[in-house]
Amino acid sequence: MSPAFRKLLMAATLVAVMGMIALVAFRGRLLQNVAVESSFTEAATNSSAQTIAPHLPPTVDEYRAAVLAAFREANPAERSLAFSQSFTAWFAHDPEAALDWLRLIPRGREYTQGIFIVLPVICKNDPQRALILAEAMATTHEQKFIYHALFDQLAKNNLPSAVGWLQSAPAGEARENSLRAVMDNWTLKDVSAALAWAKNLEDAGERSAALESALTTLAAGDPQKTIELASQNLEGGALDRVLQTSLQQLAAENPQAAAEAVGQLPAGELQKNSALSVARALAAQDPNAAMTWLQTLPADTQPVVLNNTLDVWLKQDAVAAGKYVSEMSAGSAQDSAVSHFAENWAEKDPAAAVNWAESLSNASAQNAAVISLASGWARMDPAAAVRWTAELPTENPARIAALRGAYSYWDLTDKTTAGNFLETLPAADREAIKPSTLAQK
Amino acid sequence: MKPTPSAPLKTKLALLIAVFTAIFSLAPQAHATISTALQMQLGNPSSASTNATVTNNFLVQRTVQSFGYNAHYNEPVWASWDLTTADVGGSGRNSTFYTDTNLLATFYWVKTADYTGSGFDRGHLTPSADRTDTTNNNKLVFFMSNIMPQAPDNNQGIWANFEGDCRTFASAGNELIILCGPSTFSGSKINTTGPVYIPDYTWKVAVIVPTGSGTLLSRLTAASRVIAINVPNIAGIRTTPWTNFLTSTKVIETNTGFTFFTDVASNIAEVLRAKVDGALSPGITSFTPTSAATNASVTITGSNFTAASIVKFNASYATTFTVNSGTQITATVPAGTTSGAISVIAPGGLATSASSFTVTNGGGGGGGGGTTNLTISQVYGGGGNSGATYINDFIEIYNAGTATVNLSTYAVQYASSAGSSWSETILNGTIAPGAHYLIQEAAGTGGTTSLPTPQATGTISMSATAGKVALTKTTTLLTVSNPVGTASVVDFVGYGSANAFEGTGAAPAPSATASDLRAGSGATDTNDNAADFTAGTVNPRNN
Repeated sequence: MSPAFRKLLMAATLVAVMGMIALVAFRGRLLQNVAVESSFTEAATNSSAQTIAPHLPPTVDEYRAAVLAAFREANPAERSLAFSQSFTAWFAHDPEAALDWLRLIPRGREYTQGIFIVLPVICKNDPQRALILAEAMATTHEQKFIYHALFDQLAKNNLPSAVGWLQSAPAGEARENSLRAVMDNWTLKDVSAALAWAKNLEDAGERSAALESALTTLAAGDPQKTIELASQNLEGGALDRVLQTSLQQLAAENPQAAAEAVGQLPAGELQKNSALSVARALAAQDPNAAMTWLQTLPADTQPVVLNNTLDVWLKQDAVAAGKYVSEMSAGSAQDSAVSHFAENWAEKDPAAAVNWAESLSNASAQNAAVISLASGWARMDPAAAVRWTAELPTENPARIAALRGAYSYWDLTDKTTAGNFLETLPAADREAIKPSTLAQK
Repeated sequence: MKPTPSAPLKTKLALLIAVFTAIFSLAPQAHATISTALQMQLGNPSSASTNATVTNNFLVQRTVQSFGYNAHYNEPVWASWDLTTADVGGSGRNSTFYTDTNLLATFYWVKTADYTGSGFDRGHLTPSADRTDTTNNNKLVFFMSNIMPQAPDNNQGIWANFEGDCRTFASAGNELIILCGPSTFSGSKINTTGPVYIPDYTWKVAVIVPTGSGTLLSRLTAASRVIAINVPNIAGIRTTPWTNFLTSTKVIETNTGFTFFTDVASNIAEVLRAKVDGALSPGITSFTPTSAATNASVTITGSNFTAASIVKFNASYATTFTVNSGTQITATVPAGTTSGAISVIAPGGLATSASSFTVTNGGGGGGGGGTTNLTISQVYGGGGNSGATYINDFIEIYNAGTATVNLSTYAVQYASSAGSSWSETILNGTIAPGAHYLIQEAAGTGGTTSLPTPQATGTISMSATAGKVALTKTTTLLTVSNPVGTASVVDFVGYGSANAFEGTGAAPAPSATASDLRAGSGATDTNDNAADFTAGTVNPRNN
């Protein structure tokens, strides 16, 4: 016997032995399930199970009984696991019987799970049948996710063929899901060809879905071109999503170009959200340049963009950032910036944040700083933050709000010690900061 | 002669030891600090514990996240973390995944190599980009205990996009608590016979609250935004918007068996669980009839009722209701309810009627016409304490209805501020409309004055500053920590730091010298303990 033949023989023996073990083990499991099921239904009985020799494959009744037993599992995780394993085994052994049964069961979670088990398998050899079955069986929003899986499979096997099958998916959600799956595959291979094809789709909804898929992929490699193409070809939510993705990518690559592009957007959520990442990217290079740029944005967008710039600046040079904030014109804009900055600084360096807050000349800003730094500090050391806040002069108008904020963290992390400390405070303090007004139980 | 390793083998062994040493010495150490509580402030969805014997639901709390780990699936089944802009910095992404040797030694420690060649991504639960404030914090989310197998199109597409959008929400002035995990295991494992199970879905819940002073939990309201997504772990979804996978937290509870928001006040949690992001807010414009007896049918008219999951009459849940359309619900007045607003919880949130529905036979003990509406009008646990005037604690009830109520089946029950063990005093006699009924409880060693003659006497020793009192129409003892909404509960007061209460908060903490008094001499009942009670001069009333 040649060494090669000996190896082959050993491998075959091993496979055979493992197969026998698996069969016996699976059969044992089925018999267990049958036993469980038998107490609930006449579909299978202990006696019938016991009369079957252990080396024979399970019968249809036994498979059905095993699947039905899964339905009796109360724990959802255990139930889905038991259903999937038993139904998959049945489908592998007798696909038509399993499929017939699936079509009759209630349209709940297991039914959806079953669709995802059977249709991809059928699709491998008979796409047409899989798609006919999908149309008949996948009727809910969740069930129609199967089209993603089926068309991904088809596209991976043969892209032109998958494109051809698209018309077999029912118009609407099912076809849109199918289109996205095809485009996901196509754009990774040839984004230009995919784009050209998508542009020529007649149906506006399908065209939008296909173009969004293509442009989202393109954004990773060429955000500027994507912005241009998206602006020409998309609208509504699809346009916003692609632009935001592109601008985030562009901000990471070229913050100045992204800043320019954001400046050209109409005022609104998209501009604001895009400006946040641009401000961070600009600030990482030059905080002062970021500050200058954000002045060009609409007034109601500036505060939140400023806060993001300060986040970055704080990590680079907290003192300089603090100086910028302290020198802002007094008013709500300064109070907002002070509040954000003080909380974040106190989380990193409470002593420095306290010193800075005390140096603020404007009373309103100082109050905002005290309230926020107490909470920022409390995120890391609630006991120290509460004790510091409690020691503030009682006439300090920010004291109670600061104490209340800091105390909520202590109450969260150590209710007993916090409660004991609370008892040492004056009644007015206790009343003002009581946790009963919090959302927690 | 014993065989000895050959020189090359010795070299290999030495190299192997060196590699292991390097891995374990480079891996970040997971030390708990005070801020671990922040990461899980909305609750522990699986009631995971650090009990080493419960290997499929093991709790790990770290500075950067909390998670429940399943040593059967060899992956976390949920993670929870807090996100603000302070968490996002410039540390960059770590380049190495670490075997989590901090897990119990009895667990299989998943290695990065277990995923190699599987076709599945090492999908972070807590994303790397959410923890870039420091290098060490970023390393902590690269433990393999923070990883689940995700289809690349899921991980690099929808999942990454939603993660990015969550950071945008944070940048836009919000704090988030995010929970996520795998669900619906079918038994398949990565690399076929590997240790890690593949989930059919991955889910995520983001609770978004504008930044402000105090914990997110303290700022959470029923109006807070909740985004829940349930994403099939399949290929072909890379560029699909995450909005296509929106669902409610309630659905994720059904799929996982978890309970979310367990540390949130129940009246807020039930609204948050029902929300589907983007759904329009419901509203109630009218209901008819405006008064009826229990078991009567009431038609509620309004907007955005589709898929409504809860209908309440005052604090009682309607166990039978039908959503006829987006604008109409028919509900049955539940037994045991009292007069008050009607509320509907739908995917768009909470709707509450502007006017009250009147229950014509409420309170259970009434009869002979007229309405009954019993309230707990005063609670005092400082009796006999140092500085107290009165020797005994007491509970006082008030009949705000128009009918005399027979109290022979009623009881007042008491539990400590966080307790679920209840004591009761059984009532007797009747209470006329507009009358107070005084229930004397335990005496202390202090105080100088006895209470006015009480109508009932018990031995409950109440806390002066924090506790829970229920008026029940049966004498069956309550068993849960928060019985608000329980059918037998006619009225309920949580005071001080009580963990259960009606409405937005507990009544203020009373003391040895102050009781909690309901406004309007006991008649004002908006089902909000924080609003209805004030702490004031102790004033026991028995008529």
